[in-house]
Amino acid sequence: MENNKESHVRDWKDMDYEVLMRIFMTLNMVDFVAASWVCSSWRKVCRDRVFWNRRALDLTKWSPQLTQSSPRMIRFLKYALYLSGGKIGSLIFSFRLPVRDGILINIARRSPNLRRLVLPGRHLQITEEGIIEAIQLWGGLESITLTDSDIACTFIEAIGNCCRNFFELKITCNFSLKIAQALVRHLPKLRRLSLQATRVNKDALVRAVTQLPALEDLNVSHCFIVGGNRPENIQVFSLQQVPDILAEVVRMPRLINCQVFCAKCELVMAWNMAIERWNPEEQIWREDEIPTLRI
Amino acid sequence: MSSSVEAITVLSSDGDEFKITVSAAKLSKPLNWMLEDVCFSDDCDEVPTIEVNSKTLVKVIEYCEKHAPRANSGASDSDAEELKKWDIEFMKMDVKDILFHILMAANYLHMEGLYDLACQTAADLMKGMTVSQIRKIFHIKNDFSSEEQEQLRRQHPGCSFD
Repeated sequence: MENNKESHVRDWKDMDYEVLMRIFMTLNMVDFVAASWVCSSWRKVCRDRVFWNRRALDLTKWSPQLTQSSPRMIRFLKYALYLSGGKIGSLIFSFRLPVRDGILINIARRSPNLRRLVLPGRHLQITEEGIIEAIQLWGGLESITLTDSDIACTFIEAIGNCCRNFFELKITCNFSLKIAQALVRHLPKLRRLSLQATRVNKDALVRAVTQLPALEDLNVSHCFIVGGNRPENIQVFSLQQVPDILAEVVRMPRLINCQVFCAKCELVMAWNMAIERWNPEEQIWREDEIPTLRI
Repeated sequence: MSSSVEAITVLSSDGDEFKITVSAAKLSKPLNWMLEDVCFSDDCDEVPTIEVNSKTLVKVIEYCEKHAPRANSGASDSDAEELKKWDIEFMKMDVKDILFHILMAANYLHMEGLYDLACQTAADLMKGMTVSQIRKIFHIKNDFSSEEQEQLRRQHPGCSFD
């Protein structure tokens, strides 16, 4: 009988903190949110600082039942931010979520400790003011992943003004001369840059490698390097054909380049030459030869 | 005791005796230390106690004995497949009485493989479940005050899964 009594002393609500954390770490966001409503001790684990420091809030891994509805996704995001108590270190947006100023700023208010932001979306409806206000709240930002657009340059300028520890940038699509110029002007201390599997403007690449003196890691694997602006004048280069870069590359501690014309290179080229209509970007952008930039 | 010992006897926290082979004990660092202690001890009659109850210890030993040959020598892919199937059958157990204690035991005995397997089993049980279903599966009482729940529900509509 005494044994029986003992087995009632501890049960699943008193499970070791560490064990619960390990179990919850593997759950998707919907199941994780459900776990947080089970009992007070489980919720305590869901709100743990260590937990949120280790776990990225990754919207790309949310189930379709969530991502099909933006309002639902935003409600969940708000609840996840509430659980995190402002301790989120890493936030990964999905391609599908349309982000407006209000959402971005609200998220920034609830995640002041953010170190890594991944914002690859095509549906961004944010303004310059919105970006500046959000980045001012994210002073500890160290790493960002962006898609080329006018707002990318606004981000770069705002980060240059506000984020002292910033060192890592990934561009998921189209590395243009405009972005390279913004980097040289506002982020001269950039140490790590990944352009993997994107269309890269040759002059932009030359600008980056020659005028970013702190650059240590550069990933140009599977890139489609082009010169010229008008479609009829476009020339395609391989890295070996751009001597300005080759000369500079020597000083760079770690250059990552695809040595052969691999299947991924072929895919990126087909897409850029519009032979292939399927846009591989949404799949490919998650990958990276630099482990910290992988998703 | 000589190094040719093939099995050791251990006591569960309920005081029952269990035999575990040397190769199986190698799956757990603490068990392995115990084994070394027994081998080097002058007093061979001393039986070490493991702070795991009998019901759970039976399962832990069963797991160790099954996995020991592969862990100690490596095995073919077909063996790995067979072992995976065995694992799935093995984890079909009472959530409240056994899975709970298996997790605690695997953590305490530093058994990485069993710990991963048991964590995954627990996580799989939660997949796609509502809050009340999870409470039922894990035998947990709702200990939130209704005011506290109501307030949070109002602040986060559509996030409570009831």
